[in-house]
Amino acid sequence: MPASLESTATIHRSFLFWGGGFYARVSAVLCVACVVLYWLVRPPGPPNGGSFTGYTLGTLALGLVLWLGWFGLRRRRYGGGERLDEVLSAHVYLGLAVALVALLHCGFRVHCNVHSLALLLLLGVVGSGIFGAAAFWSIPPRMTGNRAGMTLGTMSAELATIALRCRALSLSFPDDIVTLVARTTSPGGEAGRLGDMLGGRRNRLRQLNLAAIAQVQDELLRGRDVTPAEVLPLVQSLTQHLTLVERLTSDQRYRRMLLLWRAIHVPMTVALLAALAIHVLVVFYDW
Amino acid sequence: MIFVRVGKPGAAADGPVQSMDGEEVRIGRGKGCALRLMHPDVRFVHATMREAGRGVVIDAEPGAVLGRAGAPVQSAVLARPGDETWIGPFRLTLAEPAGGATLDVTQEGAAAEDEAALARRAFAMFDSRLPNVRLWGFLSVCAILLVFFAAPLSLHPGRAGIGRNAADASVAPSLLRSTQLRVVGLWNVGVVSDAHASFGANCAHCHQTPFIPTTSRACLTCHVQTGQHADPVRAPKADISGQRCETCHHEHKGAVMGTADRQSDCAACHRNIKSYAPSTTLRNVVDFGRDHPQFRPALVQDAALHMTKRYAFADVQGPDIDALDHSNVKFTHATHLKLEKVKADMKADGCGLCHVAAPGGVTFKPVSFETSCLSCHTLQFEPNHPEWRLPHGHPEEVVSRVSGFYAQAALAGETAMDPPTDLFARPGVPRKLPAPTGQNLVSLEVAQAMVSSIARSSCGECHTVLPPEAGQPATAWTIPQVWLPDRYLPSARFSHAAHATSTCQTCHAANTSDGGPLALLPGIATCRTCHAGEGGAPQRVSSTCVLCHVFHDDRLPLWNKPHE
Repeated sequence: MPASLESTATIHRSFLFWGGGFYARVSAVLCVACVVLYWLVRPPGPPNGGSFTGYTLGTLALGLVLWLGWFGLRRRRYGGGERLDEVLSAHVYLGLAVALVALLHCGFRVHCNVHSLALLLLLGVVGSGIFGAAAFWSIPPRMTGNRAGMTLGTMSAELATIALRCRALSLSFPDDIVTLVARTTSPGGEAGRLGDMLGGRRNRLRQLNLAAIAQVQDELLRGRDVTPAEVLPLVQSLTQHLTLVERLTSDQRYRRMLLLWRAIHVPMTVALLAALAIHVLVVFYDW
Repeated sequence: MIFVRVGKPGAAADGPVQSMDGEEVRIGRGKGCALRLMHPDVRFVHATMREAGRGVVIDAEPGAVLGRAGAPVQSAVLARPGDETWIGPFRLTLAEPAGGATLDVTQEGAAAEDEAALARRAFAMFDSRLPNVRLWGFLSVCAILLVFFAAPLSLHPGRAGIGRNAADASVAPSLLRSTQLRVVGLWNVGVVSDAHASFGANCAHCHQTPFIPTTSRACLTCHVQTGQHADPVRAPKADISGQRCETCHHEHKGAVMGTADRQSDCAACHRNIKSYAPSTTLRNVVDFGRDHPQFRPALVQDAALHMTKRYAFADVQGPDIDALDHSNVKFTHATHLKLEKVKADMKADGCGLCHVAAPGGVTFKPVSFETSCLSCHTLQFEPNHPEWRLPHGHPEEVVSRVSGFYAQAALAGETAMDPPTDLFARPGVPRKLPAPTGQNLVSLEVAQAMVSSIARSSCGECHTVLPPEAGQPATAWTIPQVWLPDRYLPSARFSHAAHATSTCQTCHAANTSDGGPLALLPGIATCRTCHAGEGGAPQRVSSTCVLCHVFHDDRLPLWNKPHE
């Protein structure tokens, strides 16, 4: 458990430990049972989905997938006979188990067909789910520490205040400093680049801010008509600006990691249900 | 002297009047400027201003401009009250002169960007939103339905025309057809076996009715000669007519058919075979390595009728082998392999000198007298006339051949000799020439004596020979037909080719075998040096029943009642 969570362990308990890991044990037993079945009841030829073992594992996997998909509906409503963290705990561990059950069902064989498509989509859904569970495990404590009690709204407001102060302080500096500070303190001025979306913006904003600080300090060395009393407040303000920008970009990165896996998990689940429907239909169409 | 009044942002120019001396007054943000206008749109040194009569002239510095955005000018002359120009957001208006040219400076709009708007921009920039997962999910489903359902369904051989019959499978491959096959293949659960690959693309060939499991009728289209496993009369419980082929044979499992071939499948009945076939002579078996009975070789019972009879393995290894075997040929490997000539001939080909693999490598071609025996067994009967030989394979011609020789000898005036008794010594043994008798006698009696001697010693060397029956001529010796079976263990299918990496002597003790051909036959112990049952054993080949035994016996009635 991350250090920041230990002190609050009595009031916060991760869904991963619901019921003392009850569903982890349920999932482990299920996996062992499936492996034993796979090992002992072997069909003629290579293991496959059309044997007794294959049909059994396939039916189990299909049932699990449908139940796991039901979580997407269950999490949207309040109440119900079971706690949501219980359902989520089961969702995570049985989701891990269904990947193994599906692999045993197909005998670890992949071809270029709709059946393997369903398998690959299932593995993609489970993989993104693993990423999501890991993200929800590790990111919230870091995110809380990074925000230091602020919200995105208060951080944005403070950034605006500091930006305006930087710009006002820069006015008594030569034109190049004014331009640089204006660029540094103008959020979204160069947004929309592909690199920005992939995380390059954090680095670019940081470099710009550092360059502004360095150049303001250089004004003294270059012998321009500025005094330390003018330089110091601007450098301080730019430094505050840098700190806040880093905090905001980190916060954004954390939020993206908490969000984007679902951008894969959810559509891929819907696609998986479609592929599974075709898979089952086709298998019995050409029985 | 120019008088300047500066107002607060957005307000009238009601500030204190500043008087500015000098030839030129500098305007800008910098400390060196007399009129400092603090805004990012104003340059460090933006312009210079000088008094001209009751007005002022303002000249922009290089790179800077005056005037409103969209109508920039380099220089502005403010001559009459009310004349104005702009520097950034600042409006410079000439007022009524009050002791000199007077300039009112007002700032339009807010001092700078609105803080709240800036905060909103920052919020928008650092906000994160989930992409439209419903849209992406919907598009994914549409794509999958189109590619993996609609396309294969429309091209499915059971629906569209392609590959509906066997003739279509031979259509020359085209890009269109290969694309069709590829699309239809998206429904294929696995690779079709090599044996069925020729029509494998035609789903409807086997899957004749949607949602109905494949029937054996589809298999019987080709496999009409499939035999029963056991005699359905003697072992009615083993009658497999009515079973689905798919019960044991599974398609789409790769290049090799998935076939129920496990030892346990066979042992289910064969562990107690009498309860399934009370009259059988088979013995119980579960595992080749543990309890498989000793082999029971089939010996020739009647060579003319190609009939065989099974004997216990111990019997055929014993000294009574000659009494059991009726192949009508006498031969021992041990005798031959000791001969120097044979040893010399075998240096090149080894056993291949006589034993040549039959096509397929499972068995060997029959040993031929002409290629394997003739070089030593020359069938000459008169040392002085080696050109005269007995006709092998045509015993009915022996009498005429021998009579003919002596008749010719008499006509030629040759001196005949007594029929020698040791003339037909074995090849390799020095031959003692007979002494001439000096009698001019060539008679039928001599020929008859010769034939009897030949039959006993020359033919009888290798063949079973039968003397003339009572009342028959003295020359009426007979040689029963010779027949050697392809295999002495007819219930198993042993492939010599599959064991070609071993030497012959690994299994066949030819050098020491003097008990006839069957003494060479390896027993189960020999097989078990390499083979164990299905469960395997350390450094043994795991061997199921069907490695050696076939399930469908084509000697039995046909399996011809398909399951409907």
